[in-house]
Amino acid sequence: MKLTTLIHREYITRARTKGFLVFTFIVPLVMAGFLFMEFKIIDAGKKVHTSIAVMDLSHQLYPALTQVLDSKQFTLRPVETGGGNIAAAESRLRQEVLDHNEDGYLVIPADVVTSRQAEYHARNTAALSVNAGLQSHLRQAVNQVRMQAAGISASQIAAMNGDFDLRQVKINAQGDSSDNGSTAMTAIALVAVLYVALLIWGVTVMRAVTEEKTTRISEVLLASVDPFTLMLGKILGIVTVAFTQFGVWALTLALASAYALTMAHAAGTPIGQYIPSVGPWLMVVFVVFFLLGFLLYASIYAAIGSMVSSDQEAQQTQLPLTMILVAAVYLAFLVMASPTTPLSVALSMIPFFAPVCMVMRVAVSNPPLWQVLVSAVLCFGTFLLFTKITAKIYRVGILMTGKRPNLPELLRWIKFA
Amino acid sequence: MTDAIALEQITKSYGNVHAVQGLSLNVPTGSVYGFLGPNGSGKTTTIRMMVNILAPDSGSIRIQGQPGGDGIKDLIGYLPEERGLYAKMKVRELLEFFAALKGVPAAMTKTRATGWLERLELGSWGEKKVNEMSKGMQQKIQFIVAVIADPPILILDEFSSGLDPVNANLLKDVLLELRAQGKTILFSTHRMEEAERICDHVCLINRGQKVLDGRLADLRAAAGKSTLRVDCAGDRALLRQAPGVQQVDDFGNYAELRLAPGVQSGAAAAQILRFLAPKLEITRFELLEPTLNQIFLDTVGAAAAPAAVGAGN
Repeated sequence: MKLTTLIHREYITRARTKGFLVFTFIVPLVMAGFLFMEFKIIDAGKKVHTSIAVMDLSHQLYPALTQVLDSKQFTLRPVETGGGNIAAAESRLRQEVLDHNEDGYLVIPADVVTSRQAEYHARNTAALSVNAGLQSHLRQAVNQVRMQAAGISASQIAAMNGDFDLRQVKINAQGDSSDNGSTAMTAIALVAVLYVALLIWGVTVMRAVTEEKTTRISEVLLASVDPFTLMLGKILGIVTVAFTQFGVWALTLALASAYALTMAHAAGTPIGQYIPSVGPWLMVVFVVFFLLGFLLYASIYAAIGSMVSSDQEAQQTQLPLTMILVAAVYLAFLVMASPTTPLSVALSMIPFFAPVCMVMRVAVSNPPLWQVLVSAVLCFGTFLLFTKITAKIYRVGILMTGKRPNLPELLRWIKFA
Repeated sequence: MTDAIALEQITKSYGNVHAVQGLSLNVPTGSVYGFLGPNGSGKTTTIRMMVNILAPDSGSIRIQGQPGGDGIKDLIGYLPEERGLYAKMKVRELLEFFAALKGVPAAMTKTRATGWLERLELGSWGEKKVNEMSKGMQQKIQFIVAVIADPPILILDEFSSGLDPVNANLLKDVLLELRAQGKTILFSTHRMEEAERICDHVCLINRGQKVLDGRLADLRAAAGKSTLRVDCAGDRALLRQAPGVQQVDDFGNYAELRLAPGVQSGAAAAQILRFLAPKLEITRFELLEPTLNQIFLDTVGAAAAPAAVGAGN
């Protein structure tokens, strides 16, 4: 069958290029590598033990500090001033730090409770987790001392210092579900993926069409197949290549996330709550609209590719389409803010915006099934329509190498073919 | 027998430019048909309509009796004037792709590709990429693309341009083999001596209109033997004084004398020979049929004059 022959050629010639292989396999490996390394570094940072000598001139903060301090990260040792000569004590401590007996020393002034100041001297003052840890622990210790002074009991203080958990519950017609607040993040991530993929692969389709036109292969092709089959084959071929790449990436991402979760769980860090959750329905809608959006934009990019005669010209001509795509992403944020207004519903039905807007709606609210279906059918129909129009433009356009057609000329081309 | 290709009153315009005007022609099945005309005469436009890349503004096209359209694509192998191959594909894959696209079953594409590569002396190039080949080799690949699906009709637009004489000869042999198999071959060219060697039919168009068509032998016979070839030594200026001579083309090694129109060629030749024989040392004296080139120049020249006047209005 001619269509499968076209798809097959498109697939093997593209999937075999070095660029594709590198992009498909090396990129996720590098990403996974970074993820892994970052995790290791954070982990390693946590495990580093910092021993600190503490010179508590206030004589009241040290006990509170040892109470709140994370003993896994810090070891504290109290230091006496030794007869009140602070300068001598400090120079002794300084030498100890230089001799690697201590990592640093902390000087807590006598008026710490009111001044809320202290000084940390160390060989390495750029260890952010140490600095941040010390700072928050000191604040806590000071607060504790002040509360005790105000006559609040230790148990009351403990109760006040407890964490606060805000649970978000998404209201669904099918039943309410607990949400960890990552819905918005999920939606934004999905829209970003769509946008980047459409842009990159749309341009790929456009260039492929222009290339065939300028190298005159199109004439041989058109003598063998009708232009509609030709366009369909080209678009479907590139879509198949693109989705192979996405598949590899999705799989890598899934594996990497699973690994990160396991590692985090083992390390006792509950990062699970920060990883966006994607429900099965959202996943289905995303994949379907990803595909539909891909087909639709590919067919329009193909139309542009078939009316121009060089890559440079194509760059200029595609600008309006890029703007539509950018507009779609902006509108998706509008939809995110108010997913149920008539405007949002309308936007999720307009084929050019539907891929991003409908995914956004499903991510943040629960549009009725019929709306999702209608939107999908409209998208698919528009894709077929544009492929037909593209085929007509292509047929006339391949033999024209002069100047780019203006709109009335273009309409004549479409009518003519 | 149905004609392989039949055009009837085909017209095609681009804006104000009338590329083809009311062109009718019939390409008999099994013929080698030369489609001739000067540059810009509408050859390529006509061919593109035959293979359904362009649609005519009016008129009808029938391929083996079927109306033109996407349905006839598998009947025709096409070599366009401007070459088009995927530069980065391997030669064999490219050929298999185009074969499959023309409906050759998957099981047969490989043997076909191998067979043709060997036939055109490119047997070791199958695994190379197209852009590693020379222009002439790519031209041969383009030729294979046209013939690989074994279609009954071949349409070749300027098929020998860019080929050296050895390869041009190789392709000519292949074409004659294909004709022996009963294929219909239509090719366009402006190289008359090429058409003269292998065509049995020719059609001459100019400014989108047919000026002449028919069997090559008939056309030459109709034009009559009106040229004398004379090889001689001596005062060649005398050639111009010979009676009944309209024009002399002196090529140095030999001269061609055009007889005045309307004269009986045998008698005129005898008279010229009697005039020249005593004065020059003649080594060869031959009465020739006109070459296709002459017919071409005569016809186009005659047709061009009134058309030029018409364009001036």
